[in-house]
Amino acid sequence: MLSGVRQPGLAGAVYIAGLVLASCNAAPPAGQSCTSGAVCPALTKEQLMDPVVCSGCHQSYYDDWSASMHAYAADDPLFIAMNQRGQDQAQVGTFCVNCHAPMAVRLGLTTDGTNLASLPQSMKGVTCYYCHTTDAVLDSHTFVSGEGGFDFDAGLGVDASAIYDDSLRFANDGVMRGSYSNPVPNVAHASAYSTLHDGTHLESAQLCGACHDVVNAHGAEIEATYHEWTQTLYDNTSGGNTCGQCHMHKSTGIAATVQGAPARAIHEHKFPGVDTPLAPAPGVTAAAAGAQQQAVQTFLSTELAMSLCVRGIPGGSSASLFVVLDNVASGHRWPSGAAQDRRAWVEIHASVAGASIYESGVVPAGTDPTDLSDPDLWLLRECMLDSQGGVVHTFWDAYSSDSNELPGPVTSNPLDPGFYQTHVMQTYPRASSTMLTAYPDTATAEVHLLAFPPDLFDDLFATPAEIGLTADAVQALRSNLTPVTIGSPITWTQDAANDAGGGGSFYFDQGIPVFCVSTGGLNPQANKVPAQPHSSPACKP
Amino acid sequence: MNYRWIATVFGAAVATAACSSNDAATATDADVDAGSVGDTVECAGDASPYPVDVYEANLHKVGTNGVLTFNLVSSSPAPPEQGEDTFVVQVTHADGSPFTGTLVIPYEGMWMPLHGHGAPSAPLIAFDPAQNAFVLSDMDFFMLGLWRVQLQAFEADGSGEAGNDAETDATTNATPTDSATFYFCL
Repeated sequence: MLSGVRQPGLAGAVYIAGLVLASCNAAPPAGQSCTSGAVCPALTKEQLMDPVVCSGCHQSYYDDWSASMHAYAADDPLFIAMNQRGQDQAQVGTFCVNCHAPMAVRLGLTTDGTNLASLPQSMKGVTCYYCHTTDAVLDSHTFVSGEGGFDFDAGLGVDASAIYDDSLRFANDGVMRGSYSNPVPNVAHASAYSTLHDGTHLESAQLCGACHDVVNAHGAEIEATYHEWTQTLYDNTSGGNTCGQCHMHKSTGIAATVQGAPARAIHEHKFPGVDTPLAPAPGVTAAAAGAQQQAVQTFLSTELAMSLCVRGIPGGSSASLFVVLDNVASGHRWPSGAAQDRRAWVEIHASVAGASIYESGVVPAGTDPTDLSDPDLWLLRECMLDSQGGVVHTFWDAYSSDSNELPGPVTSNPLDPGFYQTHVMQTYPRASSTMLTAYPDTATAEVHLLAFPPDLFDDLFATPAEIGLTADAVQALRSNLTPVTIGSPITWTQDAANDAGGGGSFYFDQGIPVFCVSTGGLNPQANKVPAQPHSSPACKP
Repeated sequence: MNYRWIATVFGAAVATAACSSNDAATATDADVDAGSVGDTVECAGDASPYPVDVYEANLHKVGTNGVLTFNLVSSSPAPPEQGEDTFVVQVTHADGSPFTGTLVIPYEGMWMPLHGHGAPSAPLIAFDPAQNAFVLSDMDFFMLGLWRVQLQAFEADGSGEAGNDAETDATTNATPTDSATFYFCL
């Protein structure tokens, strides 16, 4: 019995039964051979397309994947609602479903993603078969007729070649491609090495970039994660990191329960990033969902280094605070992904003898930080803008974007001015003419990240019945729109600032003492750039 | 206010700023085209200025001052892997007698020189009498790549803060008796 994973259902049970009969090591059926490069006879292509079947020999990979956003991509109510709106308002065709249920598109089972509920689970999400039978990434931003099934509304007067959205070549040949140059012979399927699946090859990033880099019909970058990565030091043969090297934790283990399988480098398939399923995915236990959430929390906790500093004369009658954030460990902007949906902000408090003297970024639960009346709020997000420069929330209306997210690191050389472009500083209070009314004895700072904004959620789900949900179900989903706190909050005290071994530091700024507490090796005295407001007046805060 | 302390820290801060280029790697060309066929990611690169260690049990180094020997008895897992690892380290004097002071990893002691950042949290260091060795746990090698692990030893006679249960915070004002640095590719 599978535990903590999608339940196989009848079809899956039959597949698994077949697999068990064949076993991971069984000889090919009489009269059939299984030679290198050939499609193995033990599992048919149809069987290989079902992730449940994969679990027969690759249980841990399946367990990881089944609770991941890749498995959830087509079950995600946010996708379903947004896709429905896209069809209603702009006839976006397969634009969304190309990446959220690519198997269904490639096999001609959907033309717009609105019928996914009627399809087998194996046709939903980004599945084992889809990724592992990809054998090439077609040119970026190139439309290939018949490959992706793009039918984005030509009536918009758009050059289809400008649309970039899932440019993988789906070999669909039953050969499962992976990172091992010496896959263990087996009769379940043919196996082949692929640099696209080998995270030590830079080009493997293209495999991810096929979906994590989306340009709409107006040429606006809806998701630019891959493009952002190409601008960072991580796109580098010397000391770089590919998508898989960060988002697929590496360890030593057994890749498949096949006789003779050696212990070697294996990679988790949880793909932690920003998002987690809003509701338990089909067949995924609460424990597995919790493990996925924990993986995301752990992953995000490493992304930023932070300093919290107090500038002023200790014991004096005024002071100011500043926070430095450094995007140290993500090979793209922070946050990234569907950046227009992200809300990242700094919450800061200062007090004297337990009495609050200042706070900013205190966002009530269940509300959108953009609704906060807080002139000092440091909010990191991206706005999509229409042709007139107005903020829009529907990607098909976007012509450009305006981001104040933290840039990705471009160099490890502190002598290069570019080293400091990721050291972004916000002063509190923001107005230079304003100071705290006392020198604090305690201050705290923490960074929160909300994957999807409640305001947009409310708009998308205003009429639950339209997407087959009840009002109660919508409320249950909404209650899961909770922010993640990134890493550990910093607590500033004079003692902590004096503890150099623990991240405390001190320097003079224009003759005024500055005491700091930092994490992640960040040097708050080093050069830094002030946090920039959005360039668009419509994008506030 | 302890102005002597401030002056000391101020001086240290200046020194720290000056030393912040210690890990200067060759400036990267970050705007290269991604993923040319055959381009592999090398942990340290062919022209790495860093002396990358190949892990083996009892990997030992004489300290930079030649006073102490730092023996990496074991890593768990072995070799070091991405994740939270544990090192067991024995420190001895040149004559083989056991070192009885404090072992620390300074603030930037766990560092990725080719990325320009450290670990998100400090490891825990405790002395295990049974092994006559320091156990460094929760070493958060959270990313793949080249990691520097810098160990500093302080004698218990006043040149460092005594005690064997310190976290990595005991060395604000002291010069280490000796130190050693390991580089591992994960």
